[in-house]
Amino acid sequence: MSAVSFKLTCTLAAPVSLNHPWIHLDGIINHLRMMRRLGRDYYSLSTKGYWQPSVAQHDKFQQVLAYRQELPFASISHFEPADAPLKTVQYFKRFEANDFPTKRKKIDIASGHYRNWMMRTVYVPAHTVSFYGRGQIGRVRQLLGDLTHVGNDTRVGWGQLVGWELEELEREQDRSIVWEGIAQRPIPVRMLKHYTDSVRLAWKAPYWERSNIEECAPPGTEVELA
Amino acid sequence: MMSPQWRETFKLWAQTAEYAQHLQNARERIENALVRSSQPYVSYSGGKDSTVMMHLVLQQAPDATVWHWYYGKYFVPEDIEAQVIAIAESMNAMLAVETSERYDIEKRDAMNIWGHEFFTRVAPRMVAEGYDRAFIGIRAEESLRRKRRVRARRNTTAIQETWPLEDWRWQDVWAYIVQHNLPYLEMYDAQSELVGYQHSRFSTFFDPQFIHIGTDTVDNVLHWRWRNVD
Repeated sequence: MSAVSFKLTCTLAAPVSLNHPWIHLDGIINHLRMMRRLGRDYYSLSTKGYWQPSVAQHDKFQQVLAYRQELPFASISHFEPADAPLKTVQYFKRFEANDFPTKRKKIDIASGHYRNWMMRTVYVPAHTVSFYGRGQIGRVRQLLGDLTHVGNDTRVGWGQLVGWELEELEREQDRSIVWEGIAQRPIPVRMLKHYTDSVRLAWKAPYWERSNIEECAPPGTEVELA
Repeated sequence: MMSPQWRETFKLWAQTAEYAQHLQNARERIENALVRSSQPYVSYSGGKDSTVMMHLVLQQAPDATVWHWYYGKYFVPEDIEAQVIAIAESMNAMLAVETSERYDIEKRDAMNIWGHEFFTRVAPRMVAEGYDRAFIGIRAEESLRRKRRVRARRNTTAIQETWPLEDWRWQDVWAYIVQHNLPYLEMYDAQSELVGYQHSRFSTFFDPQFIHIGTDTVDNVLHWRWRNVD
């Protein structure tokens, strides 16, 4: 089955919380694949490393998105409206003693279930978020059936989706790696013939893994693939 | 770059009686402190408060040493540090920069190196060298801890401290910068778009010491270029 270029448009019910200026489509796809593969065990993985698929598993993994060398055909997020400003909010959970239904005299608010916390979130109040990709569109559609939220802190409701739409594109409309000479995702400079800017970035999922960091042309840079 | 609206706002604030009073208080504090000291130094971080304070002190004591601590490239990107130095040089400050080699060894795992080095090594040496007055740009408005420190007139070392801006508000600081056209770190404008000028502050980046107040998410989004320092 041949790979197809596509555009994924997610309609948002809530602002998207960010822990990075953009979201990666391949990160979302791999997350959904891991959820399907490992089920509840996905939440019990060691925090000390990351799950390395075997060669056979890796080949299967690559059947969803197409790859150019090791680089997935998957763009970063594009928010609409494009000029939606970044916002920030600080929120907290605090134990309220009034009417607490127990006879316990002391409640631990430093740890455990009633722990008090406060956090700051950066969010973007967008209407939609789009991604461009290339791969097995049927498999992508199947996986997206599990997608309910995008972005950071989804457990508290950020980035909730109303729905999503997958649109097939002609190959020449593909914007998943480079579009009109501009990088659409982090691309390692070793894969480029020419680039105007470079930064040390993670360039493949999982994006939190240190070993995936190397000198890359960031999205928005003028580039020419090698 | 500061928006024209904010610039105009701070210019108008500079015309208020409150600002004039705070400015006069700061100048008097500096004058009184200089009368009672022979070898003062100015503690300069590069942030907006210490920039304003340095400008005020150097007007009365141009030969005062300006002391700056560099937190290393893992906590302060090199181009921001270059701006910090350039701001001090633009005021013809006699700048003394110190750091610790532990920053390059411990990288982002480094915890409170400044506190340890300053109180055990730097401060005792400065006392021995004859420094008898430290100008520090803290403001009571910044936090409850600073408010209490100012109220208790508590010095942190054997060197007598003066806090020229102790009663200043954030508007006073920006009004002074705009009024005197002082240079300031570019990152303030980007950060202010997100959190407002009243909350923007310069501190170490990607510092695990401040994760509990959520600085890491702001750093990850605004300062992503410096997230993975080699």
